Amino acid sequence: MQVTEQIAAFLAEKKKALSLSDMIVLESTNGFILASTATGEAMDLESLGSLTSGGLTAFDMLSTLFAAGQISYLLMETAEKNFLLQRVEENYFLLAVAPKQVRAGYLRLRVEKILPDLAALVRRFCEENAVSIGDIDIDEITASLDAQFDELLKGGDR
Amino acid sequence: MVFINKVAKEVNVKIVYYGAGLSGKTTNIEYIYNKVDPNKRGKLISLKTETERTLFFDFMPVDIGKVGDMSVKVHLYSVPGQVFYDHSRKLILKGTDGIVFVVDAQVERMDANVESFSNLKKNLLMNSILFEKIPLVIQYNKVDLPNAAPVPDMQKLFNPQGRYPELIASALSGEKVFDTFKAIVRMVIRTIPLS
Repeated sequence: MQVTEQIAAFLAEKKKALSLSDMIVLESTNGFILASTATGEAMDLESLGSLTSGGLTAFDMLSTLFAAGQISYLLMETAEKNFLLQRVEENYFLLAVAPKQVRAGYLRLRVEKILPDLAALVRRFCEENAVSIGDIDIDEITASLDAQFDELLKGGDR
Repeated sequence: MVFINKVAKEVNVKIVYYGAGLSGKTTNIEYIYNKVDPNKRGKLISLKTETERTLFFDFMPVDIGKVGDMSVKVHLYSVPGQVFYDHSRKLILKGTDGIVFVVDAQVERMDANVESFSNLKKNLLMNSILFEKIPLVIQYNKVDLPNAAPVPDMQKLFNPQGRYPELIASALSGEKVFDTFKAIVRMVIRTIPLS
């Protein structure tokens, strides 16, 4: 099994085992989603990625202004749900969303327990995806970009 | 930092539209949003003030499709141009793979453009990104306005050595907006080995 599949399987298993989260998403601090347990078609993961990474980065900046060091996690309580943004490795974090009855502190403690295993998987992902440029045919990609640009515009202005 | 998932054969890149307040960054992204096939782009997220000015960022994902063996996805962001949102600009630049610098061609905005260009260099440095290495495209926007500065004058200010691709555009009418997008995507893809 490839590491990304292992990460996805790990999240799915933990979501079930912890009986905690509505959803667990692992993403880079740039907002790129690595794995998710979200199943609802209504969930727009790309929007979610940009907003959560923007939020985390904003609080990181705030923390820097206070010379408080890097944020390790953020907890948010809303009327219906609790959210946890947990840093996993330097450039990755986990978003866990739980129903309101699961208390935020409890959510944090439970997620903390899975962190070492998850961090190990993320490190493996980073190692395996360290760009060895020889694996990517940049010329081929560049050559076929124009055709794709034309395709992009078909069906626009709808 | 280009995000590559070799197993999924995906290349994800982040491109930021930068420039002075009201230079047309959001207009660029909105135009692309309206023109691109809805099946190939995600939602346009705009975090705005009550007066419709960009507060934090605009965001739109575009799925370029399968290019070669890889699927290329582009995340477009724009920064808030107003001077006092400097911290927001700094954090949005984090991890960027390419920049479109939008110059407002109106003569009276030239000082603001110069300040924004200087601010871009400073904020890239704060993010440990070398200005000389990052793919950059310059767009001279609003050149159709009567008070637009001559293009050679703007080139002297922003691209004196002609190092960067530059486009003469009108974002409101869409003139050269998509060409700007194509230019920066091409540059970013070509420079993946350097990132």
